[in-house]
Order: sequence, then structure tokens, then C-alpha cells
Amino acid sequence: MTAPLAITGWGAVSALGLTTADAVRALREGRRGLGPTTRSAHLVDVNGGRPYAGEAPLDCPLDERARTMVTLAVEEAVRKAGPSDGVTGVFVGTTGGFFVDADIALYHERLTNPAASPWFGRRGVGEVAEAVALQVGATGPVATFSMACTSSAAAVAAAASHLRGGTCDRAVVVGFDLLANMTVYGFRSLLLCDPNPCRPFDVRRAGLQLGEGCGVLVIDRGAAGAFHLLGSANRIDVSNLTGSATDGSTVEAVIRGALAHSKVNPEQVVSVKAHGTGTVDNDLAEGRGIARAFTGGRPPFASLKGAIGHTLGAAGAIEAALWLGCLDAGFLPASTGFGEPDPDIGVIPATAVRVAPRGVHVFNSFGFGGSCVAFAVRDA
Amino acid sequence: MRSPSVSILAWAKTSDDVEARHLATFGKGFRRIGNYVKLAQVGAQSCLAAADPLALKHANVGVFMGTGLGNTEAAVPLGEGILHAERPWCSPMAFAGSVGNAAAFYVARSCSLDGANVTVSQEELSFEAALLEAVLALQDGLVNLALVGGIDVLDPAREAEHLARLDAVGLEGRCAMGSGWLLLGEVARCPGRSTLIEEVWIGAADVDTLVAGAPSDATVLPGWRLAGLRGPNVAPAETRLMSTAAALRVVEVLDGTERVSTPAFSHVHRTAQGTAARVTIRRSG
Repeated sequence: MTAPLAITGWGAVSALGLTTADAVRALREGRRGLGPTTRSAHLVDVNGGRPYAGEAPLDCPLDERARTMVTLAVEEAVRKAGPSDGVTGVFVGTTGGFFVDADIALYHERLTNPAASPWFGRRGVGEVAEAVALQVGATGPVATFSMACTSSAAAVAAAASHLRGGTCDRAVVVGFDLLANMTVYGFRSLLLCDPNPCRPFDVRRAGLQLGEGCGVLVIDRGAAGAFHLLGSANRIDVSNLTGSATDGSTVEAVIRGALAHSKVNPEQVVSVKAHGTGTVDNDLAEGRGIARAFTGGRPPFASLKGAIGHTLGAAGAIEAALWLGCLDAGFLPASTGFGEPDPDIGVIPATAVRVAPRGVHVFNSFGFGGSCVAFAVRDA
Repeated sequence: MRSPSVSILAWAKTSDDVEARHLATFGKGFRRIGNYVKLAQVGAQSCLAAADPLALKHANVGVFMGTGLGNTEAAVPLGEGILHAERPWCSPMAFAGSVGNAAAFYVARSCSLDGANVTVSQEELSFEAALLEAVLALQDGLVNLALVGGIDVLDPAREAEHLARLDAVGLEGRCAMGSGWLLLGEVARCPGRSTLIEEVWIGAADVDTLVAGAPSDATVLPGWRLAGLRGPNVAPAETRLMSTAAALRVVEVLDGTERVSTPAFSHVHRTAQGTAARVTIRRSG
């Protein structure tokens, strides 16, 4: 019997505020953090107007935004977890890391030289993990997972393997992505952005809104904590670079894989934090997958992206931090933005805040590159 | 971590004639796939082809790919287009193909693998970090076999940016690209294998401590940032300025391209910020 992996701290900077508590309060009240961006001056103006997105309400100089966001979220989570005498490892999930600074540097340069060309001589995405390791005084392993929108969920799963394998006693898991031109205009080019606030699992859904932020979980082996991290699963769906099979088979497989690795059965699951992007195919695949995985009584599920936007590589960690924050506050959040059921999906997300159930909670993440990750957490 | 229970079942690398090797490996051309993906596919496929087919039968094979800078040959032109001063533009296909895990996706697809698929990007320790994830995943029961690769690509026309991204401006060596792959399995599943991953360690350490931790019967192979390292068991440092050069060098020692006479060898390296890694591999018989 291995020591439990206790989730002892969490923190998040998101469109709903600079702390988890801010976001939990907003989710209880059903507020959304989506709107026209006002702080992200580096986003180039294409097709008229700045993007509508889940921008974090962080007021600091533009070129300090990325590092400040990470620092704040890590501080919140580590403060909640308390000190640790053991070896700390850092596990980061991000799609762009601090590379967004190239966008921001170009923005500043073009204020005086409109014809300036971009310079990409920036470190790789692993820079974030090195910075967090310095911040928390980590002496253990550092690893950065660059797996599109599953990046920080994969970091959670990897942290569990490290803790079980003994490479560290504490894992600081970080998900981070800032609004960047590459992603804002990339998703726009794929026609995946809804011009209205997104509506995950709704029959009228028409795409996503991007968001930004940083989410952090602190996991301690053998410590006391409100939640225990169980097992995980990671599968690849090679049918399509940009989405999972819409019959739900891959989603079902990854959920069942996570439950099997956790040594629990579907009947023990009391909630599912859905990936729920608001795009037609993701929600079809995920909704059908949830229906297939839970045939004997379906647990409530919800997407948080209608409230904070799709924070890409950060989504797994931010949404886990917010979900755990809500559970810790005694409630399960509703699926923001949902209004009308989609008969093709066949399942309906949670439409209202409800009392937090106790049991096993499943966290889904899916992404480009065929990546599918799920992990399970149990109330201690 | 010490991991005497993990064997290396096969290895392969590729670094030149990418187009011809890709065509020879797959027998046909692929649209919209650049050198980065082709390097990954050829290396991975060659590694699997070198393995005992019996070991692969009914195995849940995970892909663990390390890359320091990712698919820069796709991402940099995409960024230039989006940030163009007068006519910003973005190709949707190029955007989708620029994600960090796209190469691992194409490796899984071309090799018909549907297990775990992990892409790690940890600066100069990206291959080492992917190797550690693979060993842990094997020991955690998440996969039966692990296909571990290191890959980075280079646009010679953008060498200055490449060196800046490596934080290697002014260092001795030459910019390079390529991919190296290992197929790993737990000893219990692959008895009789004589090449073991003895240790993969990543953490904070100064260079002296890092080297002192290598076994006394191991040759120490320094990474390119440790070019000044000297000692009785220390080989010349890596000269390829490439985040994942360790993947190529490990394969070269295993296939005899680089001669190491001791029963074990320890690759050591560190990032510009100070995180260090040591990988020890032992051959017997």
C-alpha cells in the first residue's frame, strides 16, 4: 500500500480573478469572465477589434504579465499547502510558456518602428518550470509537458508517477498560458471561435473563447489533505490531429482507463469536470464518451470554459484548482453557458450549482495532437 | 531515480538525408509534413523495426518524445505570418500542425500505436526528462513498452535565433538536428536483455556532485554545456549544439559509433539555469 497523494494546495489566476477564492465566489454566483480584451495590447488587430476572450484582470506592465501571473498562482497554492521538508519537483503544462514575450517585445518595438520584424530568439517552453523551481526552491526533477490543451493534465498525471516512484516528496504542478497572437489567430483561422460567449454542450454552441491564466496544484505524498489524487490515463486518438472520435469511444477509453488505474469503478464517480470547449465536435465526442463510460447512473458533469474561456495548456490545472476549490467550499459548479440540450449528444451537463457530493471526481482534458488525458481524485 | 528493472530493447537514430530516408521507410510521400515530423517518424519506425517482434506483440506501447525547441520549422513561419507588419495571415493547417505534440501524433499514427503519448520540452534536458517519464510510466504500469525519443530541428538560415534560444551564443560546437530513439521495457517482460537503464536523475546539483554520482566503472559523457569538464573517466563533451543531442549520442554509444570501453556510461548535462541530469546505462555480457 503506497502512501496517499494528498492535494494540499491549489491556486489560480483566471478571468474570474487573481485567486481561487475570487473564482469560486464567481462560479457560485454564476458569473462569467469573458469579454473584450483590454489589457493584452500585444494582440494584433486582425479582422477588426480585439478578441473576445477570458482575460485575467491582472493590472501590471504588459511585459511582466506572464511571470506575475505564474508567481501569484504558485504563491497562493504553496501558501495553502504549507511548508515541506522533502524534495520538491516541478511539473508544468503549457503550450507557449514565456514565448509570448516575443509577441510583447515586438509590440513595444513597433510603437517606434512599425515595420519591425519579429525575433524568436527566446528560450523554449521549459523556461517556466525552471522559473517555478527557483521560486519554490525545488531541488527535485523539473519537466514541462507541451501537449496542446492536455498539457497541464498530463503534468498532473506525471507528478503522480514521480511521487509514487520516489523522485520527489512534493509536486508543484503548474498550468500556464497567456493570450498570444499565435493561438488567438490560429483558432480564428480554424473557424473555432464563437463570436458570442461560448456554450459548451448546448445545441447552439458555435465554438470557443480563448482564455488565459495559471493554475497550480501542490501534491504531497503521505500528507493530510482534503483530496487524494488517484490514477490517470493517457491515450492518443490517431484518427484526427484536431479532435477525438465523435462516437465517444476514445473519451470512454480514457475515462475507463483512469478509473481502472485508480482502482475504482464508474459507480463511485460523483462528478466529472468536463473539458467542454463549446466546439461542435469536442462536445459531441466528450458528451457521448461520458454517456458510454457511465451507463449505470451518470454523475453530474460541467464545463468551466463558459466562465473562464479555454486556457489551452493551462486548462487542466486551472480547472482542477477551481473545481477542487468549489468542492472545498461545499458546492459543485454549474456548466456556464449551457441552455438547450443537444439531442445528438444525449446527455445534459449540470444546469445549477448543487451541494458537493463526496466520492471520486474525474477530470477530463482533450487536445490537438490526439491527446486525451483523464485523472481521478477522491475526497479524503 | 535508480531503475535497474528497465531494459533497452532497441535503438535507432537519424540525422541526415531526411527526405530520402522517409521515403525509403514509408514508401510514399506525405503532404504537409516537414523535416521535424519526418525525423521523428523515421527514427521511431527504425527503432521499432530493430526490436524483436515478439516483444511488441500485444504490448501497450507509449510514445515519450522530448524536444527542446519543438517544431520551429512550422512555428516560426507561422509566427512571422501572424505578426507580419502589414498583412497578417495564418494558415489553419500550419497552426494545427505547429502544436508541441504533433510529431508524437504522427509517430503514433505511422507506427499504429494508441497508448500513452507524452511530449516533454525541458530545455537542454528534454530527452533526459522524456526518458525519466518513460521509466516511471513503465514502473507505474501505465505502459508495457516505451518508445522514447529526442528530436530537434534546425533552419540553417536562422542559426542566430537557434543559438539564442539554446542560450548557447559563443559556445563551442555546431548547430545540429536529428532524432534518436530507444525502446524500453521492464526486465520482467523482456528477460535476457543485457542493456539496462541503471539511473535517470534530474534535479538541482553542481557539476562536481553530478559527476561524483556516476558509478566508478562508468565513462562520463558530458553534454555540450559542460565542455570544460575533465577527469580520468570523462570523455570529450558533446559538440552538437542541440537540445536533445543526448538522444543521438546514447544511440551512437549503443551502436558502437562512439566507442566506450567501460561496462557503463553516464551522460551528464545541465541547463543554463542550473537544473542537472545524469543518465547511466549499463551493458553486460
